[in-house]
Amino acid sequence: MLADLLRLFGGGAAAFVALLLLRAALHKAADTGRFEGVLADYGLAPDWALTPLRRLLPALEIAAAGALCFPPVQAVGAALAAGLLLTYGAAMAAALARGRREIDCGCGGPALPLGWSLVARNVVLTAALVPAGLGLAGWRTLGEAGAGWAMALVGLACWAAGEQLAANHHRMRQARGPSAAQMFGGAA
Amino acid sequence: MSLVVFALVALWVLVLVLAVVILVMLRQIGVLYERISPMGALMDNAGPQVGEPSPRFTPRSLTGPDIAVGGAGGRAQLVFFLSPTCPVCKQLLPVLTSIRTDEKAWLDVVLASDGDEPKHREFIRRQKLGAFPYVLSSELGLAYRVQRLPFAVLTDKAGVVRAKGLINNREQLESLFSALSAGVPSLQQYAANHAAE
Repeated sequence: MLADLLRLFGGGAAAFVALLLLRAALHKAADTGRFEGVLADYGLAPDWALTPLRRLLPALEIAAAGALCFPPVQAVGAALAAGLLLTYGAAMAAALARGRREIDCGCGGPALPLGWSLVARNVVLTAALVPAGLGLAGWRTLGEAGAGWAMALVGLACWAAGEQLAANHHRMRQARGPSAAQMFGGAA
Repeated sequence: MSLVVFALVALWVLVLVLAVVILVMLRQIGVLYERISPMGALMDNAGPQVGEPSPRFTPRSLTGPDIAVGGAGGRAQLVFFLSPTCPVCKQLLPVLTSIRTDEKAWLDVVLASDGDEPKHREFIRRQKLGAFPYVLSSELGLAYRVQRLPFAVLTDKAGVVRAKGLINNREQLESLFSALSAGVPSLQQYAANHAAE
């Protein structure tokens, strides 16, 4: 029973991460100029590496997403996806450690400023891939697959809604405008 | 059994639809913010004020002869502060190019930045900015108190600052020109004038 639940939730999580990676890849490919700017903002890669990275990262994301959907190579896909997520997490942590807070995270979806919560998010996503990475995830019947994909799709919609909420919250704080101290010539 | 299957399928479909509805609603709120918040260029009170003469500099241009910035011989001037590593700046480059060609009769567009010269040369080459005067001068940025990019300053033909501010999109850039023609420095000021009446 427990092994079955782990199998089903692990499969759902793998499908969810696959959708998430696909969305991220499409987002990056749709606006390459912006993504290159985001990469440059992180300030971690040398300039000559920006254009190859800009092409490589979406390709890796699509490869990982595809592999996650096919049981025979699911473990490979999980490893690749975990590698990507942890690399992004490490890049965000490095940028944050240098005090680059107000840059777009480039995560796919609306523009979000960097934060430690995004690093934690990537760690949680990586943990969700563990069952798939160990070959303990997947479905055996059509009904299981249907329920799993339904979970992944609803999960993606809720995820995107959560990101939009965070972006709206950030805008709402910005829209308050200058503080009284700035308006009246205090500490600028 | 068939009832359970029916109920489960129906519930999944409903949950999916509801999730999408929530997402669309949140996206609409986001779009509303995008439309409301960029009300003209955001201006801060540091640096030369609107209506005051601009400080004058003659920095070296990377793309041509030295250029006088801030009160250049009888022509209005748009000084646009950018950086090769600023995504929004890149998005605005096509707008600047069209402004440069459309308003050639009365306006000079000058790009300004500071820092490592080879990086800027590479940026000019890659973005094809050879037609713009491109100056590297940290004094210029300090004089205008540029804190965030992209930032723009519009001076009239007498060298008086007519509009300035942080620019995040085409509308904000255009608002600098409407400020020049309407004689109101920023939409914030316009709103404040109306509130005072």
